[in-house]
Amino acid sequence: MNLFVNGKKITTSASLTMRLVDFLRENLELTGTKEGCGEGECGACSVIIDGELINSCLVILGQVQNKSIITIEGLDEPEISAAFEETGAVQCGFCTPGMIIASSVLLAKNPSPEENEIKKAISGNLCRCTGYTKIIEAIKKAGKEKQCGTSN
Amino acid sequence: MWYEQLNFEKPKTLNQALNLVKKNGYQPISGGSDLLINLRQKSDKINTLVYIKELKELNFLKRQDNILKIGAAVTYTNFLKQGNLLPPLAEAISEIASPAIRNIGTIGGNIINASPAGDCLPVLFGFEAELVLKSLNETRILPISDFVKGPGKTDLQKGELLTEIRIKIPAYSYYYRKFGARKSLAISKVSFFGMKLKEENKIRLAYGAVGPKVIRATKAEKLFALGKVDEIPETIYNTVTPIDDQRSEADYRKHLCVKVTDHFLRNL
Repeated sequence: MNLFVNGKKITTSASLTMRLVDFLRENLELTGTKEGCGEGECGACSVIIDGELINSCLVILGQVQNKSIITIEGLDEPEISAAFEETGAVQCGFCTPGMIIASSVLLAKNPSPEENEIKKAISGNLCRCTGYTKIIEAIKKAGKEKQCGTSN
Repeated sequence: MWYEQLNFEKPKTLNQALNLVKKNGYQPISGGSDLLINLRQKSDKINTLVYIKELKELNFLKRQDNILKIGAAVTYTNFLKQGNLLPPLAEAISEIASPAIRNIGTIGGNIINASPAGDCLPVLFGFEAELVLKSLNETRILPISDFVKGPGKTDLQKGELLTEIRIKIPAYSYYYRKFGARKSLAISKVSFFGMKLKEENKIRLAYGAVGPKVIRATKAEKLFALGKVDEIPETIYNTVTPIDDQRSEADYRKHLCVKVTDHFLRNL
């Protein structure tokens, strides 16, 4: 079967019932996508599939044939990463790839989100360190900077 | 994951899918957000997953006059994208799980999973939705209250797929409320759907997560029609049958049901 990961066409004979998170981490060695709970509760494994935010632990390969997947490694969002660094939105870092993926999906649809829209957009992503305040700050900042095009 | 050993089939038509799911060991999978977690319990009985989520025949939303028809594989997100098809169902769906799960989870899946806390269910019980169940040789149409039997249990027969949810929409006003420990990713402690039929002096009351399946408080509904509103709180308290579990306690849930009903009735 075929799928597209970070813009590259991948042809694989892996089992179609393999979880996407396992395929990304083990077969493609894209270990930026984390597995937290394995049940869709934590969002650490978030990826973008055909433009939509998805938990890669809840999807098997057969469901993503010929679809386009973006992982944290393939995400071209320097403003978001920089804003996370600058506001201190990263502590242990385990939730960060998922948070950045969720932020990117939000900002693509809405470059200047209200705080409640940000909270909704990351509502499926758990962080056990920061308490979210700095993450929300980071997303606001990234939105502004993406619009101004000042950061790079 | 252990289920990598399973086979996977992606039929192109509903007919092909029905030919597959009648075979022993063939399990339909749609969004998979519940199934992939719960599959282990059935692992000795399953050898093949049959992927039905992208079938055209299961992906439609049609509103004709006052009848809404929802394809069983319509995702929560796609339902919400269609705007105001049915505001109480949209409201219930918007509080399900998280954005990522709403992108894969389906309305049909919520019904088939038959969790006592499934958040589409109180609204669908309130509207007395009908379900279209197809097999190769037969089509059955059942009220949702007959189809859902208990936790994880439905009347789905071997070889059958839920294809469509049909909702007759009367003139109504409503109140929906989900009580969970958090705003997102929370399994309901109690969910409530109350509707007032505008052309009749009737209400419908549906409660989720307080019994093996959604409870319609028909006795309280009759009291309302008779004008005996004072008797409703006690009746509700005695109608719902919640349990103590990790999410909440039975008595607290009973009180929530009474209070939320009271709120609904005061604001009619």
